[in-house]
Amino acid sequence: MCRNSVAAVLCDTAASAFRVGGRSVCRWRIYVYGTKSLVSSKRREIRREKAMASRDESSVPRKQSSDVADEISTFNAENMQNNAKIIYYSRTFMSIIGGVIAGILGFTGLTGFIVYFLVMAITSVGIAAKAGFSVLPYFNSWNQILIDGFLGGLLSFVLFWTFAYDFVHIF
Amino acid sequence: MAEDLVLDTAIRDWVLIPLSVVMVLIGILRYFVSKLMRSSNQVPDPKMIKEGQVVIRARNLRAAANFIPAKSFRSRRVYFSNEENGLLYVPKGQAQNAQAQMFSDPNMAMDMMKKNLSMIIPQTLTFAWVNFFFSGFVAAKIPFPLTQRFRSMLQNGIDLSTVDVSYVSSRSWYFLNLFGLRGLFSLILGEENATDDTQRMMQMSGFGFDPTRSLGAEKDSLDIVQHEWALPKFEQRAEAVLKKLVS
Repeated sequence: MCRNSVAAVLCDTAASAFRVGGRSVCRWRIYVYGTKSLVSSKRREIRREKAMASRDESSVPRKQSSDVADEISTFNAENMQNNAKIIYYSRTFMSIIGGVIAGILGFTGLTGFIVYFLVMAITSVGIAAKAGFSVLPYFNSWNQILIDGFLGGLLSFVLFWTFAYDFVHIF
Repeated sequence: MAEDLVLDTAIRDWVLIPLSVVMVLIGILRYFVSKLMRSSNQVPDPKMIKEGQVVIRARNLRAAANFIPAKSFRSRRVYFSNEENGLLYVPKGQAQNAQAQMFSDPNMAMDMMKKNLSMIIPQTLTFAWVNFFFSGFVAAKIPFPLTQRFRSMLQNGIDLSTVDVSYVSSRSWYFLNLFGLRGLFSLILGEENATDDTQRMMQMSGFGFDPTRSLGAEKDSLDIVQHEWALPKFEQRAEAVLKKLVS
């Protein structure tokens, strides 16, 4: 299964039960979203994968934990990394855009920093909305999308804020 | 002192924009140069790769420990961390040897020096260029007020002491660009770009210790793991999932 072409629910469970020493043992073969991993184990369980249908694959957070009933959580490290990267890119991009907006509108001093925090909050809300407000399958915790990397875009924001402000108001 | 200085439009055209454009272009150039230089002499070291793979195996074992029966987990753990021939066990004397050897290895030292130089030289050159050509006048106005202590830092070429601290010289514009364009580079150059100097320095300082210390760390974390076999609970979990499905 090609990594870049997943778009639909893929849950193909093939069960074959046979008897071993009096107990029946089921073997399940399950395709995990994003990567093909053969999980054959001696347990009876249905894993239901909710895959995210997406047009633009690279900008969409991908499922990281593949268990619906979450006493045991298995993390797909590559998906986790991808999600973290997406958060970082979104924050950087929004802080640049926010800087340009603050400069054009002529905010100075504290008002500008309030604009920065507002923009970061909008980014967090946007990411949460994209993840369907059920954050746990995609990220480690709520903290990761709300608080993590909050101040990372500050320098870019200030740079573009200064740039736009000088352009428009002192030009 | 909140009067508004009227600044020449030509400053915008000929100072701010060219400086930013030049820094972006130099960053892109440095990225491509480092990519070209890196790919020519990269012979992967088999010993390091072996150690890396062992660490990955131990990590997988740790992550999926609850899916295998207790006895097999324990036997795997002993295979990794027992004293005579465990894969993760590195006697103390040997650990330090590997570290010293890494630093005196001529290839590695050359590599690190090259990376260092490729970082430092463009910055130094650009800074000298800025100082030579763009000094002695007010270049930009920062939109937020700063205290008087920043005056000496930000208004280097300007010799008037009554000008508002918000009006800065082009040197501070250079520094502002230096830090602010990192985000932009990470967007346009993809993840792994050589322009993030602080990250690179952290990586380089941790590089020499990486193999032997990570083995010890992996062994410790493997020893900590409490095994709790997940099979007895699976019927309840299956029941819960089915209930959710049906209802």
